[in-house]
Amino acid sequence: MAGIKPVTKIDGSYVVSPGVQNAVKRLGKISGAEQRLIMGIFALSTQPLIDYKNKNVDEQTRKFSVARTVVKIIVGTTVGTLVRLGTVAAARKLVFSGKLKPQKSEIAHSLTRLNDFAKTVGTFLGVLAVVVTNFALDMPLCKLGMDLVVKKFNLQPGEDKKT
Amino acid sequence: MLYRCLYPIKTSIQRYCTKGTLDNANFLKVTGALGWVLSGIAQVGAILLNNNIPNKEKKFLIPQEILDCVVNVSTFLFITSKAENIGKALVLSGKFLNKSAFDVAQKLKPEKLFNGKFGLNTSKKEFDAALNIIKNTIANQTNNKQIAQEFSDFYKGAGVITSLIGSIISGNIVTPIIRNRLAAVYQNKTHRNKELVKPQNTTIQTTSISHDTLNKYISMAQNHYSNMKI
Repeated sequence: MAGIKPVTKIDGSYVVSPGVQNAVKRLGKISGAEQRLIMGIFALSTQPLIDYKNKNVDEQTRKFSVARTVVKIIVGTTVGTLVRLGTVAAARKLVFSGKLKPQKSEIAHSLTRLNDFAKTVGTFLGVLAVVVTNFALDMPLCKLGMDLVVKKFNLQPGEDKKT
Repeated sequence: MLYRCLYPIKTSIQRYCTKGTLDNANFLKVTGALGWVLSGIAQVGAILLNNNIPNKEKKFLIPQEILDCVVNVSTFLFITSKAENIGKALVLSGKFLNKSAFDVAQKLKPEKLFNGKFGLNTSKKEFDAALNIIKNTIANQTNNKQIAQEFSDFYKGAGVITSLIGSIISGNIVTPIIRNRLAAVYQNKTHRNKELVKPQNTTIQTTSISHDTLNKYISMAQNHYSNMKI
């Protein structure tokens, strides 16, 4: 019966179907790029709304703030995800050519786990790469995006009104 | 020579990433926090290197940036850690299970397999010890290591999912709200300073320049603190 419904309550336990079990296992091995993308999607659905509801600043500033948040999230998520995908690809080459090796035999002797190790190395290198890409890509792209948005919607940073 | 210099770095990366592969939830949490810290350093660097910001303003903006980074990282680590513990506790207490582990528990009686008490403050050591005991019991009962491994993968997956939910709540809801409130405090403080330094009997030109400059930095700080990148 657990195979029919995604989750079934039996004797006080919630038992998942094999499909859900596989999904949980798959999500348990999520890479940094996937994590960044998920975070970005949720950020886009919540942060502009929070900024728009921020009553500490005037309407004009709020609009400007929302636009800036949207631009920053789109740029940050795109750059962050692509950078991590790139570093994961590079890490795969390093791991499968033997230049970087896991220090546990249980990982080294399993192709799936070696792939997980490569994803982990790629995620780690991706986080380090963020220092460079923040300056080299995020900042100029955010500026470019904001210039376009400000022109298109005639936005100006307003003055705060709350005392 | 270069290889010798890089060797300790390579070994450290290998060691750290091996640990990370075995405990993805913790790895994602730590790299997430590291991302916040590095992003904060980049923002401080951007302020330091920006010649358009006067030194006086830099002295104000840099501590703000550091404070913001500390708030982000501590909120992120606190919420994701607790959220991760929820997922792990649900599985190890037998409340959320995969089918094969549930079947073993039914044969043994659930309270025999899942007899530990776990909560938000349970340590990683306690979780690991409980997982090993349950894994070994399942393997011994079924004579099938695969079933024990399935349970272990399910447990780790549950930890990652709840940790991810925690990071979404922290990064996208809690932190922006705290950030907006902090920005309001900074703004009010700046306004009070503006009122204090505003000269009473000066020429229109002097007042106008001072007001514009101050407004420029108020807007800059306000936009900066209400829109920090993840």
